Amino acid sequence: MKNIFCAFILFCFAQTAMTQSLNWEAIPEESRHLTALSIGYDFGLTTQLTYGYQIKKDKPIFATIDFSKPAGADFLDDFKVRIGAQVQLYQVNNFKVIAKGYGLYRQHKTDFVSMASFGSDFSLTAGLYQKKWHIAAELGFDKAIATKLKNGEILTKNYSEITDGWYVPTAGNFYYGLEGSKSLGQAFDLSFRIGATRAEGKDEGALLPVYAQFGLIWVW
Amino acid sequence: MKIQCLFKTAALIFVFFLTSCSGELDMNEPGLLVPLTVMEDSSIPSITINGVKLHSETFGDPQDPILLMLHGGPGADYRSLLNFKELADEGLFVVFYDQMGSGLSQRLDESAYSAVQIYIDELDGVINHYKKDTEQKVLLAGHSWGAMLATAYVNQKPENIAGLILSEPGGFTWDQVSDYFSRSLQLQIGNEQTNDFVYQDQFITSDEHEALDYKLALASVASDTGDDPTQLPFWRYGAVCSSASLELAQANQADMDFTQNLANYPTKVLFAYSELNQAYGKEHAELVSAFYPSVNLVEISGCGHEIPHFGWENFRPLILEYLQEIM
Repeated sequence: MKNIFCAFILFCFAQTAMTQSLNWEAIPEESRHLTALSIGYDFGLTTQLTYGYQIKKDKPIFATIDFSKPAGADFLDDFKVRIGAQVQLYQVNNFKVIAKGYGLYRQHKTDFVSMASFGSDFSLTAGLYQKKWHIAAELGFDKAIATKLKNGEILTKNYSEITDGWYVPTAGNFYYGLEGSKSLGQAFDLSFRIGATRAEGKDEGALLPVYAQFGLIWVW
Repeated sequence: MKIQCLFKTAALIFVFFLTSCSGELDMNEPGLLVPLTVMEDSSIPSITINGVKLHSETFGDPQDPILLMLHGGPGADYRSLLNFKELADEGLFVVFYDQMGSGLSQRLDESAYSAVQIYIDELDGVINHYKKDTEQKVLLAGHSWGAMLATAYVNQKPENIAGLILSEPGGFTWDQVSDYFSRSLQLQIGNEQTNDFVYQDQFITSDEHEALDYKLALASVASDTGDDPTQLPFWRYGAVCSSASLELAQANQADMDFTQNLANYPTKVLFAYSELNQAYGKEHAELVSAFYPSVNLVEISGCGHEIPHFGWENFRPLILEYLQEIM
């Protein structure tokens, strides 16, 4: 339970985040909303829809919520919802350091098991933010803090004493890479994130330990 | 302001769910997600070979010729081979064991998997453990990786083995194995099975065998070798054993040649391939089995790669015919 409270405290302080690689310099004065559609690879071929809102016009804090799901025949067996914000921590001229934080819920169902997981995702990005483009390095950590496992008949048939319930914690993955964007006029940005993942501990890591996301952001 | 409230409410709901998870469990606690091994449960039948405790069972009269079963993987277990225990009624002493680091046998660190020879030495130890005298015949029956291991053993000690039953070994050289893998392990980005395979990596990571073995069991959903993977019985996969052995094979491809001495093995070999495993087929079976001078190559209809389990009805009569011929 300590892990949960630690995550809770971190979550409250960080206010939380967004996956979109938002260029803070390119946001028009009158705009407080953004919508984004992204596709890419993030533990599966995924599609993501994001909505963001600048909490106070005079403060660099953007709250966001996003929904992503992997491709596949079953529509809503697997998905991820994140809610959070990104906040500017530091600025010297066009160099900025941005902190992002999420609280997240993800679900995964197969013939073997149904998993429902709450977690967190914190990252720092640092780079150059120009009016028409930005590029930044990113380093983050995604933690599956508490996961409810409900094992299916296949597993219970093989091992009758298998135990369903909340497992704490269940996973941690570091990620590091680059993000950037290019403005298309006043209201639209093309964005990308690309990098690698690495599981914490001795776990050999993901089968494909990479991520890549390409999106279109509409600021309004 | 309303949107701010919405975000705050969502954050509170998230925190509520997090803090309401009472009675949380540890994935790495033995027995919760995967069965105990011989190291934690002394009631599991076991033998100790080369300092490693192995899960092992026998069926039949210990004085009869030994039929020693070798499971696939590395990292699978012998539960799906148990149909073979029926052969105890045919005058064979049928011996099963889970190889080191897999099934219900003792788990080892990655560094223990230093050479393919450790599996050959382990097999030699099991034979010596059960063999009563020099006159007692020993036959090997291997499935998939187990068939490769049987061949690696025969390549070194052909005089020890009186008969061989092999089902779909990936290959006897690294080139053959990688050729087979390139067909059998194809992942199609975007389909449900592939996403199920890769999506779980964000839910489970661990340093411990318990969670890693559980995760490997979940990954078997992506298997596509002609059978329904959800119907294959198993006890417990060995994740570290599986990944370390594969890395070992890739790093020492020259050691993965089990063919140099097979031409000197005079006994006929029963070599089975399945009707439904599209990645294998007659062509690959002919290529792999060609190293043996005398082969009875048979297709088992109605099943995929897991011939000993799903193809037993059609495989059994061919085995009995083969045993009559060589015994």
